[in-house]
Amino acid sequence: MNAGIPIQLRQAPEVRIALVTTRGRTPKELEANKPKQQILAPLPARHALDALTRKSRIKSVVLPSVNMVEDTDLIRRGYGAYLGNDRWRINGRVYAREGTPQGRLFPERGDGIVTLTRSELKALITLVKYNGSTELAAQELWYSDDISHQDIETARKTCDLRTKKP
Amino acid sequence: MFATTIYLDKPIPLHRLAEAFAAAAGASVDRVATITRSDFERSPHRWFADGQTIGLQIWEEGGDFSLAVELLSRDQIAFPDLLAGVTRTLGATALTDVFGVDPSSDSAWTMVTPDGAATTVYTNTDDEEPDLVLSPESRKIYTARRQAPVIPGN
Repeated sequence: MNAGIPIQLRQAPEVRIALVTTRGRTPKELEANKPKQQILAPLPARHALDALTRKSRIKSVVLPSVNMVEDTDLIRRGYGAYLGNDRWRINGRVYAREGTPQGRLFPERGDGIVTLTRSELKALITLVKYNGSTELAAQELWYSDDISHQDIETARKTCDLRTKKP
Repeated sequence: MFATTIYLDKPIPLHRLAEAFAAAAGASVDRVATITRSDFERSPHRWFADGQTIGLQIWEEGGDFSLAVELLSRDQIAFPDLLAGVTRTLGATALTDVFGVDPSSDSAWTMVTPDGAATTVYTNTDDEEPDLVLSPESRKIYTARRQAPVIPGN
């Protein structure tokens, strides 16, 4: 009987399929990319462009199209690419883990994330406060010596990406 | 133009802040422009008058570091030394993100205590309200550093 050989041929493809995930990660790769400590999703109220307030002190804002909870879940399951230094890339975005035991992530850069300088954020907050490039916003920005025309232009483009406008 | 915002752990009158910044910068107090944020928003105008090189705009927030001080300097300044001088003069503790472990982090800060020591601390990120509240671990550091003796002239 030659039963042993056909069985091996039939089993080989099944084993190969079992090792490949929907995102092209093997179980070993998933394990290697999984965070070794707890991580929590960024709070949308802090980072979402639509949630920006006068008190915001963030370094980046996230556009409405980004689902940070879903990104975090994928990172937690090992689908993010671990970049070292507590940073992961997922869906074209890089998230970093805060240095606290809670391990809250913050969006650092990438698709749908706008990284802002201090002056750009200040200009953006002013534009949001006055609901865009109004006369009052222009007056306040004009007298802010630390904000350049380039800062205002960057802020204006970002401000226009809001979906929630009063 | 150097610009940053620092946060202090206690309320301080604007004129005392101006004196402290002037002393730390080695300048006379009339070179420091001061304004509250509410006044600026009510009537925006240039921060600096002729001859003034340091501008301070203040406002109050909630949290552990409730006095926000926006600092603008027309001249180059040695910011770490300036901040150490200000905290020593005022007997206050300050948070800054100008120098620190992770410039892109939203919760990592350098805390400068009245003894001039700089320590990395973290603020709470579990609250949607963005007031500066120290994490439990950092609060222990804050309490310990506040009890450290201040050596005059150090």
